[in-house]
Amino acid sequence: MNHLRLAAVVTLAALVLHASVANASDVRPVDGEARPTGWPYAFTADVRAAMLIRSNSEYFHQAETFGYPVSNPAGGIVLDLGAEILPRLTLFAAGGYYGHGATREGFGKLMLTSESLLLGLRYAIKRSDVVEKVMQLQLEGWAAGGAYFIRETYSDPLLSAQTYVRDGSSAGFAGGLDASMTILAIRFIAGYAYHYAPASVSNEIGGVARAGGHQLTLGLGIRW
Amino acid sequence: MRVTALLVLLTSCVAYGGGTSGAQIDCSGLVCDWQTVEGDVRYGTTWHEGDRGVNMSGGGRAVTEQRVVLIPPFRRQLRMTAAMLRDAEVSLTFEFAFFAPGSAPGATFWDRSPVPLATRTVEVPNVGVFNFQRDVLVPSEGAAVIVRIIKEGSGRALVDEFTFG
Repeated sequence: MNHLRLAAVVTLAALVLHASVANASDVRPVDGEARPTGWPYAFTADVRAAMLIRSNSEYFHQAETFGYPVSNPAGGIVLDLGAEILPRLTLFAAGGYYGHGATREGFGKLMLTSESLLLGLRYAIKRSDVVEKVMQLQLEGWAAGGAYFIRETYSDPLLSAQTYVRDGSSAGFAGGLDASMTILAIRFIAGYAYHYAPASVSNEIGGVARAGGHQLTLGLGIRW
Repeated sequence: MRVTALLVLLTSCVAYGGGTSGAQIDCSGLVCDWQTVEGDVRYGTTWHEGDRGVNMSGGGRAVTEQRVVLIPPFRRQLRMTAAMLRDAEVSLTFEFAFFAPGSAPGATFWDRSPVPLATRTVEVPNVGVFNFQRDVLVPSEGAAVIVRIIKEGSGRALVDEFTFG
């Protein structure tokens, strides 16, 4: 874990340093980008549909074999709020919810849900005003850390009235790339991220499903 | 009279199993009434604590069986399916012993000394977690079957979602 923490700190430091340099040299627009004014330079709020290819060790194969063909990826939603605290550098908080499941013969039900609460920094690697103050294209890289939760619920009223619940939670971190197009104040965003989160649930025969994985998002937001 | 009613009820439960697949034996929804013949067999938790099946994990030989009077009209070739976990150190074999009706006096099919016809053996070659299926030929005049699961060796062996039909 130490080398991961070190990598996160170095990445963060590099982002801040690069943003500071960008700020100092922000005398004229870069890549056709209009110079930001005021502080914070901008706020963003996004809502995204998400697809999480959940990390697992044989979990989904085993569930399918025993009658529960749970699709992986999970569907989900991500809410993201950010403030551009330095030119190109945005501090953001994001919350995500993902879920998937399957039923067996219309009775047994297996569900997996997970949540993430993250705080992170997003840096605009490339930002270009196609039409000044009207249309902007942007490519951002981001890194974040926070808390992850996962829950499995299983019920089969033919076998038992009991609902079996398993939970897992842990700290974790994530990194990704977002491409966005802003027209006036409306943002269209597509993104990829990888979430590393040890939080997991396991079955009786060694299958493990985790809270993290590969994530694709597509969404809509505002920037003001 | 009560015993007869109970036997009829039990046979019906085994045959239909509560499932909807139309199989002669359908243990995919409910745990069928397997009976331990030999060794340590548990009928409960399998891959998930909430899902029930046949757990033959452990050391040594274990045998479980269920008896079913086949429901006409049945085909001459029936298919068995099951979801299983098998460690490499364990062998799993299914036996299908078919019987024709007997002529001795008795209340149920099994009381009337049914006539053994043939026993088909299906060995499970797969290792790990897998779905397994094989077709089994029903002998002419076959009217009932005893299905046995035989486990040898030490390790994990689970059988769930068993159907035959």
